Amino acid sequence: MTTRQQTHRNNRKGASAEAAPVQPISMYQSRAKTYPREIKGFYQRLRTIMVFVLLGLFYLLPWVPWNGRQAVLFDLPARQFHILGLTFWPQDFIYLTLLLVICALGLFFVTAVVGRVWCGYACPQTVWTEVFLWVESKIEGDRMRRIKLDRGPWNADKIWRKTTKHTIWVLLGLWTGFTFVGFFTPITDLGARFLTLDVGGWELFWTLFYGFATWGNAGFLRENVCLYMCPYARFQSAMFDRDTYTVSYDPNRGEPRGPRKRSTDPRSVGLGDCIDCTMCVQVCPTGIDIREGLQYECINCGACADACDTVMDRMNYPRGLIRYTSENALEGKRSSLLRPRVLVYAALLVVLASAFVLGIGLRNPLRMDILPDRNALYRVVDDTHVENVYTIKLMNMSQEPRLYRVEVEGNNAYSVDTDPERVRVAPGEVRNLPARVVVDSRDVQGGGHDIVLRAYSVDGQVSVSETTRFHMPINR
Amino acid sequence: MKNTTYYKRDTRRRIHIWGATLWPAFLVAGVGSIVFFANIDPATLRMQTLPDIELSREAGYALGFLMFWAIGAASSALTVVLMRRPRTPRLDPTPRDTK
Repeated sequence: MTTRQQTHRNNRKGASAEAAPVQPISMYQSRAKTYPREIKGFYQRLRTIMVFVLLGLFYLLPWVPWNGRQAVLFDLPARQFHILGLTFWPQDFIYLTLLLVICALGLFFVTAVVGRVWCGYACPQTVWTEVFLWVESKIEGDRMRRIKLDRGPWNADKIWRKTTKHTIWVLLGLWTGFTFVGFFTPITDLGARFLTLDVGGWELFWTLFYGFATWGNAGFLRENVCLYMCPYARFQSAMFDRDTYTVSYDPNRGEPRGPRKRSTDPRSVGLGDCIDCTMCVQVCPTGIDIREGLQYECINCGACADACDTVMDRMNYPRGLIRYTSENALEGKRSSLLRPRVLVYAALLVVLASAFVLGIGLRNPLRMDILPDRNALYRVVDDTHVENVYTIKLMNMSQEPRLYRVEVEGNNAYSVDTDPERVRVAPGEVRNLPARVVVDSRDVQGGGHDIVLRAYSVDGQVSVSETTRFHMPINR
Repeated sequence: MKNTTYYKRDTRRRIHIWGATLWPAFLVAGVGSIVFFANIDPATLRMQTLPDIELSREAGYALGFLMFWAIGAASSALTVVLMRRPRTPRLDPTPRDTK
């Protein structure tokens, strides 16, 4: 033990003996485990619809066929992505980048306008948690029963319920993992191999991995992912302004809160509309009290708004004590949708999305790379002719096989000799084509200069041109 | 709230530490793998580096991703360690602003 540590140790002893005991500082409160209460209402219906739409897409898409193959298949082993009728190659990486940028901007745009609706309605973490919670409530009962069950002893009933719940969760997780892998390897094939226990090691690994992650994230971690792990939760406030719509409690209307009889006029006893029933807290999936204002834990799901509306109905008060509204609107100011931030995001989105669609629409289905022979810059064939040798890589990115030829564009003095003269390239195939380009040195100026090689399909459908260097001795 | 189960403080801390280590590393590894493997074919890489070992493309992608993840996690773990307060007790309980 070092002297410093020793000193601290002694000091600590001393301190606890003389003065008030020193409490170790912790950034972590003991926080109540969240048992969200089930609630019905407009936003909850919307969330349920979203669960069906999104998970429906996820679980069903791999099974949709398209022209004899899977409609959506990220075929990593073949290094091709198929999305409906489109095929993407590693060379199309720019589109993936563009797509990711568009998604990020889309998220910024939506966040600026309506806050974190992504979190409440579309985030996989929320969506799967909803499903897992639904299973849990079907087996373990409603909120109070679940709390009681967790606190109760491990009797036969508890063991039975917990086992059933986890069995269903694990099966759900495994099916999710299987579907996930099915996006990367043909799913019917994968299913057949799972049934015959002939599945590849890595496929099994990723199925189990994704299944385990689903089980852990949706079954156990839940809101903790949003609270402690999600980067978006931390920087979303950068996209907020006073006109952003968020789920908010209207303190002007609600405060001072307090219980009262239904028949009592709250104003006569000096109370606001909030009856302090804490329903909004009980239904919250992240376990916060929305009445304390906007918090980074809030995922904008609207559960508290639904709960509060139900209570307001029962009290015969107008709805909307907790509602989607903006800070400005809450203060009685005008709330505008068209503000610079929103307009800039929208404009960028439109530009990038157009570039994306146009780019894909105008994508050249033939690509050519020209590799000059590095061993000899040029070769003098006879007294007058000079030859350069290239390796031409032709890549057919269309859906059909094609025959291609290569010529020198815009100058008849050059002749191109490839082997074979017409090359057949299958869809998705790359062919290396040795090419000799010969020119009569009297027809062109000496030294190195640029030539343009053009590859074209014999049917005249596609062509591509690339510039390369042609080398010659200078004094010819 | 008497009817509530509490996460122990340690559980919270553990979730935070493991979450803050593994999750950002996972995200970054995902992006890293996409960029890396869009430009480099694992089959070519194997031919040029480990021609004696039989590795499929799938294995290449998986190992690449796990490697990126491990590196990211190591970096995140160091960050987590460095961001923690050193374990020295506060000797003077007087709040700073009343001094």
